[in-house]
Amino acid sequence: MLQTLRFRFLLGAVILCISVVQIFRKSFHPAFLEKPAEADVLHPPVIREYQPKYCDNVYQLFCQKRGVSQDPTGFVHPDIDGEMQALKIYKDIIRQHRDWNVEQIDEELVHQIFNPKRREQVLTAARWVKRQIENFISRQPRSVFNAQEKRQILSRIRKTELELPPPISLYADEPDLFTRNEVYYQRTLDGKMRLRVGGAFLLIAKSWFNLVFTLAHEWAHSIDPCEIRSAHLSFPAYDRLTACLLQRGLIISHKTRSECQENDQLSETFADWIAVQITADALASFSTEFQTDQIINAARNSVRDLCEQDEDIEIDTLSYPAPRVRIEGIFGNNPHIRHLLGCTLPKKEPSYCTFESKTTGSL
Amino acid sequence: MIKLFIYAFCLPLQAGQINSSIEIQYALGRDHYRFVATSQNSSIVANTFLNRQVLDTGPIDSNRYPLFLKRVSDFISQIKKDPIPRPPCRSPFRITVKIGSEIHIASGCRSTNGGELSKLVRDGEFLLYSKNECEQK
Repeated sequence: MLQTLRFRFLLGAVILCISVVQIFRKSFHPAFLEKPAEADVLHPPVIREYQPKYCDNVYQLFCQKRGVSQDPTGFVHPDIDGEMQALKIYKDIIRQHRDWNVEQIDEELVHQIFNPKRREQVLTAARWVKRQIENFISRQPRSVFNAQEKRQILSRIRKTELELPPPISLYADEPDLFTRNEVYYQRTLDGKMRLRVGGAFLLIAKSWFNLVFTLAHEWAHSIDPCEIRSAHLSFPAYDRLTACLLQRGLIISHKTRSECQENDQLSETFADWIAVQITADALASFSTEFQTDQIINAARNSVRDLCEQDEDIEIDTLSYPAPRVRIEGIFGNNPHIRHLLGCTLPKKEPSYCTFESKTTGSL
Repeated sequence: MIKLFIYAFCLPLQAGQINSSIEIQYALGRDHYRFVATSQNSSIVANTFLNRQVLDTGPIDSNRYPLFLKRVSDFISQIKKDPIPRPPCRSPFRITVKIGSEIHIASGCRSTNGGELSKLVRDGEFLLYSKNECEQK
């Protein structure tokens, strides 16, 4: 009886010792340390095995829905809505003031459309976008831009001015803009670089993300490869990016293509590419506050107005990439955007183009 | 060209007597705009389009149309006379004026010509929108 008890005691002690050793090994031995914890800090978790179906067709995700598109910061209406709204305001003013001349009517139109609240919304977004583009350029490594190149690029970004009426004299040479839906970059014959915003755009673009993408795209034109070329500058990093964009088919390389001439898509693709980086920053800054569907709506609103081109309308696909290329290829394939949408990187695309891209084979 | 010259100097006397039309097409950003005014059998109608979608349509003032036609004709003559060498253009335009059987076309870039294209468009639209409202009343 006593021997049996001793045997059981010894057996229990051995089992206990083995268990303690196992626990110790699992807790402290390097081979048993859980590596994913560290990896997750550096690369936030992405669904690796399964991803939502929409990841395979971001264009459809963003463009299938017609009409008004809402995200937590605001909405985006179709382009035509803005023009119609601006036109109604214009007609109402004409009807109410039959004795007024064109200038007086424009004065009142600007007063009603470019009101302080709407102006401030655009100005705030523009300040943020300008700063983000500057940061994006500044943080590029020396292997991309040397100090002088950075200074040249930053100087162009800073010299570009946003012109937003009133006064109406600001658009004296483009009075039709008061009712237009456009935001666009322009370099005047005397070399002034400016961004102008049509009145209709103020009426329909209330989403922060749409403002960010639109303004970032236009601001990026101040440093696009064609503008850089016209300033007699040349950056190897731009050449690498351009070669990659061409190789990926994000710029159509037709037989008669002449770089930076009419019908070349280089400047528009570049402007989209920069705008995507900035929009990814904007989405990331809200990613902890938004739920997944809100992030998707915000991403959709960023590029919502690009879908409109795909309808049965006259499309300028010569100087602009097709909507599917812009939304799927440039926006939807960006690694940061895909991560925010909960998508893995597309298998068919080896890597997203960067200033450091290396191309393979001939173009 | 002779008829264009006559129109430029003799309007508004002959307006309404010869069929005519004005078409201004221009790209702004990624959108295409079009303004069309047609004078036929003393009836003058104008339309504005955004990417083929009609923004507005209606009659315009027959008293003010001749002066507008003259301004557009003058602009075409000016472009043909002094073509401005331009860099690749982000916002191209094309103007077509038909007077009787004669067709006159000029194209250029929005940012040149001191914004004359934009002013012409604005004036054309003003003619349409102001007349529209009068008619509706």
